[in-house]
Amino acid sequence: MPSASQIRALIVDDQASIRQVLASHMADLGFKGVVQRKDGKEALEYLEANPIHLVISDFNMPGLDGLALLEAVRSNPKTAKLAFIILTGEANAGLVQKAVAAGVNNFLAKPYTVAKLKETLEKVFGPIR
Amino acid sequence: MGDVMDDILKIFFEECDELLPELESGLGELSEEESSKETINAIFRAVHSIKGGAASFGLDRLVRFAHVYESALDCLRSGTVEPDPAIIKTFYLAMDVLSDLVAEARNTGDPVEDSRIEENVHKLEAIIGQGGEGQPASGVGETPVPEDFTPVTVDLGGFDFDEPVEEAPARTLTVRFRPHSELYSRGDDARNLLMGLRELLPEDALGSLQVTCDMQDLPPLAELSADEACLGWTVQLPEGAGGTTEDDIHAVFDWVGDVCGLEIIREEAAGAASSDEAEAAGDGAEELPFIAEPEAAVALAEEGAVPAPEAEMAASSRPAAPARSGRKRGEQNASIRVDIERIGMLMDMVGEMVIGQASLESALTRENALHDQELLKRLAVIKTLTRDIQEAVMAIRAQPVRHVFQRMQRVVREASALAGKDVALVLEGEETEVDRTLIENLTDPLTHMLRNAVDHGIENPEARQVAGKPAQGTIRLSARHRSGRILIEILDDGGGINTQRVLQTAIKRGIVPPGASLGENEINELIFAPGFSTAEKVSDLSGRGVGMDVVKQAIQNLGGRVTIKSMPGKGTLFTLSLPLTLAVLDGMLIECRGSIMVVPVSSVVELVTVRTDEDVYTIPDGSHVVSVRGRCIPLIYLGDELTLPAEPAGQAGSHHMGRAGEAGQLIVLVVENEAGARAALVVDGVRDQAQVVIKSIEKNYRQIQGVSAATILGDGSVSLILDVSTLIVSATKRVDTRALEAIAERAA
Repeated sequence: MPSASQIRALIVDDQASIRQVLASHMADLGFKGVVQRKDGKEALEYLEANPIHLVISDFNMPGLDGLALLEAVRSNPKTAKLAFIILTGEANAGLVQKAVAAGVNNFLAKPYTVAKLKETLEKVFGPIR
Repeated sequence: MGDVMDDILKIFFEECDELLPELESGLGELSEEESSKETINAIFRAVHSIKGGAASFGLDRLVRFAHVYESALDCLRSGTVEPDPAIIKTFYLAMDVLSDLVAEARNTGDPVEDSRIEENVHKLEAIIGQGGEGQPASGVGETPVPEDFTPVTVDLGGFDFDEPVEEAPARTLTVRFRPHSELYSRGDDARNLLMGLRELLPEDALGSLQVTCDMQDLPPLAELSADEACLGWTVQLPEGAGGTTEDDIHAVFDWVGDVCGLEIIREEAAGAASSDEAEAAGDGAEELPFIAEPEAAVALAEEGAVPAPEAEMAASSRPAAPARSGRKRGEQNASIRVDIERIGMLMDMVGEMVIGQASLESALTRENALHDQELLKRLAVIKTLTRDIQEAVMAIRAQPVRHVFQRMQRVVREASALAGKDVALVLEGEETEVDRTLIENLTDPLTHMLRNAVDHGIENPEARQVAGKPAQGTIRLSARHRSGRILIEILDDGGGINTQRVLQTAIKRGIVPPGASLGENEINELIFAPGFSTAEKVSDLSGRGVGMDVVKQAIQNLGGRVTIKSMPGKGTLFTLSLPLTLAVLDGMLIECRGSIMVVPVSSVVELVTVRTDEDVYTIPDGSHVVSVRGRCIPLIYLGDELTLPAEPAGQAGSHHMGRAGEAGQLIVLVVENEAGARAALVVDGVRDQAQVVIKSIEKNYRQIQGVSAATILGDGSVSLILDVSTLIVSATKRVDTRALEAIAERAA
């Protein structure tokens, strides 16, 4: 059972405001040193060199989108096991199905509260201290 | 927490400033026959991102509307609806609403009326219905996650949580740099780089920075040159502590990127092993503990007083070629955001510098020091530099008018919808650059003028067809530079100005007395008279209570003029002539009754001496005209016009003030306004030509007829900048144009 401060998290979203809101909420939950990247490509570069426990990624991003990032993460043995949560706000149900098929751990629907974020994370990691 | 969110909210609004134009240009591309998938995606993403961001901040009205808009766009994305003109128009109108809702949330715009939102939501929902979804967009915030989805718990066994994130940052950043030999001669200093790196760490992290000096290039003492850099350094610092990232490090080296080899290596180092590895990396090298007195350590290194020059760095620590990281930085720094206030401050300081330079020159002149060639040369250098700096700062503030022009598309769209007319706005010269302050102040006047053009310029579609014109009216909005000013033209292909109706209205409103006989141009000018409006039906546009007089005033406040040209049956042309900046101008310093005043060089045509007994005529109404090169122009005795107190007799200059009919000479400055009207200013002399800083007189005192602003001269005295156009207009009004023509004939 990890404490939030032990979980190394990576936020991926093309919108700085969304990233920062999430990072700030995560800091409230006790996360430390949350890393932010602005698209799938940058995220993969980061994951290549750094051990990460959790990726929270947006769906719709220019270039490599959230689904493609999830697929790339799962297909690399080094990162295959990390927790992957997709941030949705998307009205398109088709993509959600694809994400489930690709092995997403959970979804975080926008807008969310800190409580909702905690609940979403706990469904993946178990109770977070 | 509140502050943090406020800051992020600001970031969100800045994103909106980028997303909305992306949306608009995407919609613009939709209008063309083939719409690419990327275009549609970009449009969708723009609205989606605004919605997502707005949701994070609880901007409900914005979220709700963006959600419906997004759903409608999704139909486009999935191909269930085609982008026909009607749908594109709906999307445009929705964009306008969205943009207004952003402004509303930001408190920079009026609240958007519910009925308008409602109406647009209906239109969007109609598209969604057309797309066959059968039902309007689902509620906001409703999770699109399938009901039967069960979150997947991760296998914690596969994770290593042993190493708490905050206690030992896992990564060590190794920064190796080797300044090129010319570093010092360029005025840079390796010491600053080391200090910069130290500052990246929070205070309590001191001690976690390890510095190793690389002395392999250190020449024997006899060959050591004080101004050549020959040392390199390897610095290890924890990543993440205090937020240090590669970017932060690059920022430290930004200034010296081209004269300093830089290599940043992220090292795998787990937990306690990291410090061991660091030591291993520095093995064989002379280590300088960089803890309490880094400056001393650096100073030591710089002096080459480090012992044991044979202690060479491991081969791997050779500085890498800077090419890779250098290029990457270059790309990232293609543009930076700077707070406009800082540039404003810079501009103010440049203004003060212009004054300072002028005052230096004037002090030197007083001391008679300007015979000194050396001094003169140096002063000239400062003068050139001052001007260059000023132009450079102006270039930073300069912005293309594109932004304002594109906003006008919307204005025309709305106005024509309201007026039941079909009007296309054609933009030209959007790239023309103008000072930012001017751009900010252009939006309102342009908005009113374009509304006016749609409302009163362009005829009804029926009337247009009767006149043999295409049903769609065209307004051309163009910008270009001309002799240090910017000209903005608004040309419509409507019916031109109905002078009869304008005159009748003006008489009805009591602006001109009944039975007045006015020339065509004079009638056209009545449009700008306060309290004038020709709208026969009070439309929503005219109902806003802004007349062309307000527009004219706004343009004049910017130091600009509006002129109007009507081509009956063909259209109307409004021309705005504006200064490129509101900060400085090139002025001619003239003397009049002991005062020094400034005339903008841009309005000076020529400086001539005329004979009072030959060239100056008195016309029946008592005013004077002067014949210059066969052309008769009104003469303005500047001193009288501005009611300057007469100088005591015997003062220099007073003998110039000969009157018409008396023998004598006058120095006259022929000036011209944008409409081409001229007048001759009688002055006592011309002192100099100089760049002056414009200081608002209205802000500090009050508006004075004939004076546009004030400035501070080199000697510290305040001087008035003349409003040439107003002077010309008042002089022309006094002089009966027919009398002028008669005199011109007589003179010829």
